[in-house]
Amino acid sequence: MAIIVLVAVILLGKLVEYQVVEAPSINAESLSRRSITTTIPAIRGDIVDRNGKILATTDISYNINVDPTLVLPFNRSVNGVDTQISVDQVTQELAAALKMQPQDVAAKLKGTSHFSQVAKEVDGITYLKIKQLGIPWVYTEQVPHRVYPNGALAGSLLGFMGADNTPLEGLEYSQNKCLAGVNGNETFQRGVDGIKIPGTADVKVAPQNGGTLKLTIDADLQYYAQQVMAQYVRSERADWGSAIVVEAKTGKILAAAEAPSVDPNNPTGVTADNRSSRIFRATFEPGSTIKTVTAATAIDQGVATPTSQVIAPQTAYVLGNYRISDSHQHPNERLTLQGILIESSNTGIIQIGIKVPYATRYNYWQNFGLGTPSQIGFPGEAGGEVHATAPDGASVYTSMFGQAMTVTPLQTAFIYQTFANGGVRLSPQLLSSCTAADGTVSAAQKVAAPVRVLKTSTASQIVAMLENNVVQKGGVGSTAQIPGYRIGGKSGTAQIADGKGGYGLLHAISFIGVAPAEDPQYVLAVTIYKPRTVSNSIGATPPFKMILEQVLRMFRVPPSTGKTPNIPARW
Amino acid sequence: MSAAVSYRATSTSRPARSAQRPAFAVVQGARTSAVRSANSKLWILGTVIVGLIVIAIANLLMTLATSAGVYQVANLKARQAGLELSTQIVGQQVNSLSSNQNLANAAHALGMISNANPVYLDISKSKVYGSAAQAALGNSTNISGNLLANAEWTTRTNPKQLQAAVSAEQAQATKTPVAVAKVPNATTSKSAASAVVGGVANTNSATSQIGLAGSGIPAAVSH
Repeated sequence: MAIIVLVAVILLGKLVEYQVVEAPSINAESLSRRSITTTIPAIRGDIVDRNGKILATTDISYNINVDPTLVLPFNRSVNGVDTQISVDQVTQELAAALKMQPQDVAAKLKGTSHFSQVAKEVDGITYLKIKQLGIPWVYTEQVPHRVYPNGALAGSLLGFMGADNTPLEGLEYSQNKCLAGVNGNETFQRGVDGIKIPGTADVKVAPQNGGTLKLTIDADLQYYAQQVMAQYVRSERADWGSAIVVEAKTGKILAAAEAPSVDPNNPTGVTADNRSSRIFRATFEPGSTIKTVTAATAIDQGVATPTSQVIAPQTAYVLGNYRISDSHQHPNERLTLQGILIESSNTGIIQIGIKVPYATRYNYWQNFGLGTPSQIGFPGEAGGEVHATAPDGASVYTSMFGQAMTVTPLQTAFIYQTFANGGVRLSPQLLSSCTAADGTVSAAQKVAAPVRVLKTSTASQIVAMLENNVVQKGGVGSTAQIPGYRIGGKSGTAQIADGKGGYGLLHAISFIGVAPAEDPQYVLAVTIYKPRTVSNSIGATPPFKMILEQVLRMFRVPPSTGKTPNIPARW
Repeated sequence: MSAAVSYRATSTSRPARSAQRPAFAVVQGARTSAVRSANSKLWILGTVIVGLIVIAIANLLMTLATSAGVYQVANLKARQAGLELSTQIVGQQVNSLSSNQNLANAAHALGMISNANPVYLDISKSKVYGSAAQAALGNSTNISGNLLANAEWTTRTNPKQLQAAVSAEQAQATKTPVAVAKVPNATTSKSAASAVVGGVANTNSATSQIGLAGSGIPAAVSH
């Protein structure tokens, strides 16, 4: 009897120990054994254009998985009759829904593992088809999937994500802080078969979704500009082309078009060198589009006017025997500074430019933003190169017509933005804002203070000369005329260094202009690199004209009034 | 209980002091007290039992109600998931259909081209800017087809369907002439084009688009 009582007491003691004393820890251990903690991925924020049009967004995709050890025939109600569905039939059904070969699906269903992924990141429609098959041993998992609904539109700017959803390029990379959210987590309980028990999910940390990045880009204009550049890069068999549209009075970039351009949905669809933005990264010697800078510097320094006179020979010799020639054959010409720009005369511009010390010209280059990356913070953005002291004697002269220095396409556009804005250079703006998931709006990029580069009078004289470049016959600029509008612009046909101390046969051609000239609102810079069917900048004016026409139409710019101030080109 | 008995015992001594009270009253009083005590126990027991039954029934009802609620919540969650999936699928189709690539192709299929000579009316100054010229194929502003890749362009407008829809609307407009000055009736000018774009039915097309009388081309509401 005493033993029974003793055993009973011991059992009672153990009961109390397990049920009361150690109950919390036992419960916790039990819960931990049947609980799984999983990450709730934060939804990456959208990238939208200036009008809110979605350029990049995040969808949910579905991974289709099976447990091969559970793959067996099962019953399905067919017309109200319970019918057994064989594994072969299921294989055929899965293959049809997933657009795969049946043998590939069959291979995924075999094995001793508890996990096999039949298909990765299928879309919602495919997921629905799979779900409707009602296969008991198929299960799915949701995964965030980055989508670019407009494909290659602004693809070079947007960048793209890696297979593991890490940002690899472009704004996806540089603006990750705005776009990426903070993942949350949840726990749920699973049964002995490892399947989640419905209703047991417990969100421990709620995810914080990413913010929305708003660009200054206009998607429709961007599309049109990319279409045009794609057409001309193809027809001129060029390496690449770019077109930048800038709002002259704000510095906002309305379009930054490139061809070829990557489709961020399929980055491997283009070669590696076409997966980034050349507008920000490519540097090249700009050529004659810099002659306006030389002219502006001379006018601003008071050593020249638009009507300053020179005699421009076909070939001039400097530093003894260093030869500088014009691109086309001509006798000695009596040109004004206006005429120098129209004819794009190298031998003429050096006679004006030499009146300003090199150091002064270097200061102007810096004020124009050359040699320094912008504040946009685009990954890998180049600053170009201008030399504080001339590398050699010849470069004192060649820099007057855009050699011995390098610039990016973006920098060339903002030189002309300075002219169009009364001599004040504005900070390039590509990123309007970042709106966090809670609605908080913040700036997405730094905007530097405006820089007064030229006197207002100098800028207006340069714009007038740019307009005469287009209006007066004789130069490439006349091919850029748009009926009804006063346009100003300057061409450039730059030689490209061959890496052996000389220049190759191919060129970088460009045309940069402003419109309307009476009160410039927009700047357009077109560059085509290494065209093979055309050897001078006349290949850049057709795309310039097409894009600028679209800009004027799109932004409802009424046709110009007033007349072009006539500046004589010859004397 | 002993206190009560003691009290009753004390109270039974009262008739002894009063000759008018019958002696059996004490016995009667004790018996009543016992009955009352028994009744009180039964009452308490009954109350407890009834209470337990009420609690059990309430518990049962609450469990049933909660269980039903759980099923309802599960059902609603399933419906929500289904609707979210539908939203996502439709959203993907809309994104694809509204992509610049698709719109450009659809516009091209309809023979729409941009005009390089826009004309603007300045109402405040009663002035006309620009000189009107007919947009024509073959000039420098035309680009043949879409040149930009889009791997997500999964849902496309069917040009044949689009053209057939426009033709049908034109035929309908010809049958029912509308006065030029009359404001188009948004509710009756059914846009067949928008109803079949990309093969995705648009049940709200009649109210979301305004057809210009006789033009056959749907115009944006904000036009």
